[in-house]
Amino acid sequence: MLATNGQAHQHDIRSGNTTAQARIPIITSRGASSTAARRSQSSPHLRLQPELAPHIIADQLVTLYMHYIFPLAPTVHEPSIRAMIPLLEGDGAHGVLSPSSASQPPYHDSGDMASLRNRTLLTAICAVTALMLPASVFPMREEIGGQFLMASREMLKLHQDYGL
Amino acid sequence: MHLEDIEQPDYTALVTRYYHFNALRAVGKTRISWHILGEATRLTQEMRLFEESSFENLDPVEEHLLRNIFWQIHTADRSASILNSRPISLHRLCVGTKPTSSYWRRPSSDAPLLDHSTTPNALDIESMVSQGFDLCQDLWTKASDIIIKFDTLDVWNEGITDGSALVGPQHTIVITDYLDFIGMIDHFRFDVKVPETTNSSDPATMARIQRAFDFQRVHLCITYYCLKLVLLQRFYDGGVAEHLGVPGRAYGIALRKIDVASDMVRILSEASFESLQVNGEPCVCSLYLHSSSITDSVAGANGTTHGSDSSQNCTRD
Repeated sequence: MLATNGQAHQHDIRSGNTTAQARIPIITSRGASSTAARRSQSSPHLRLQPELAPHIIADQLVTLYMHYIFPLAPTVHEPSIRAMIPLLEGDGAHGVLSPSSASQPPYHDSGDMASLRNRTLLTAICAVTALMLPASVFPMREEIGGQFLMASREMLKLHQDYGL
Repeated sequence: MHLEDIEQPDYTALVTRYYHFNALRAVGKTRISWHILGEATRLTQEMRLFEESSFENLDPVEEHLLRNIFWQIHTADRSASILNSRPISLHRLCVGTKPTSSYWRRPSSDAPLLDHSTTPNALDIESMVSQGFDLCQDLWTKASDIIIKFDTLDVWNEGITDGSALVGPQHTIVITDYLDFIGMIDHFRFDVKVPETTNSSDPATMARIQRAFDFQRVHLCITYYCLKLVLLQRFYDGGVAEHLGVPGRAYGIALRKIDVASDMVRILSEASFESLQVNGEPCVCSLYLHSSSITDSVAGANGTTHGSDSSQNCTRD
């Protein structure tokens, strides 16, 4: 899992070369859809290009969380949250950030439910990281943060009172 | 099988809602975010995380996470009460018992939260983060307790025209609390340089530690001066500002508020722009609170009224 993440970093993250920014990942807007295209997009779902697949963005946002937000909110276990990132693989195949059909109710075993709860948490972390960081660190903060937040809220509704 | 996180709340149920609360607040949805925070505080009450015994026999990492998220939610509850006039939910008057929960006291190495396989000097980073984190919760808790004591004294004063319930040992206790609050921050905490307790030969690691320290420093600075201003106003409103050396007249409190704001601005002016940006929302709230509060006091000193209401700050819905 970590090796996969490492490849993602090499692909999408550029390292600053100043002392203050040394080795801090900053996500560029390279590969993002154009501003005009994003504005004209009425669907609430994120239209993703392959290099901006949700699990790659999530990997980058988790790294940003650990560098920028963790000092103020040490409320995650980094190895656990990184282990959740592959749950988002495949979400971008149709350009849609949403639970796969396997994550929809009814749930047949505890694994389904655990997976959905972990996806909800992971997307929540991605949302709060994207939305709290300045655009100089995460340029696509509103577009991506909003999509992660919406996805996380929808997923929470799916399972928070499941069984009623 | 974990079917429902409302029926069987756990760390994941709490932290997910806490992040939703913050994300919604970041996009200006303060009313919705407050409702989400309400869910988190209700679950916290059900889990009885205000009692130390609730953390017994847990996996160390789960215990560490639960303690930290409890204190984050506890502080968010106090913050909403102080800055947005929301009813408080996690005070002893609400939960029916004196909270006994402590912070994570064991060494970080007992339950590290960072990925030590990829983070050099992770224990140093966690240790530094933990100190600032605990201090921030201390500030909010102490300030909130002082305000609640004033509110309680107000209740005792109902029907007493001269406010005599505020005189005597009661206000002495509140003043002692205030001195405790002031004493929580020493001038070293606002130094620009990270304390010499961490040393690494790796420049990137030192840069990360310094950055984390900067973010916390700005956060603590904003928190401290913001709460100090609120407390000054509360002492003034209670008619006991003289006990803090502030003349009981309007110009006296106005001048003291200007002093507090100046101290905050002096420290923030040395902060990196990045650390101000990362603390963007609390920065804006604090500056708004200071400006409106000072404006109100100056207007009061001049015998005029001003249209702003400093108790209704940072509501953007």
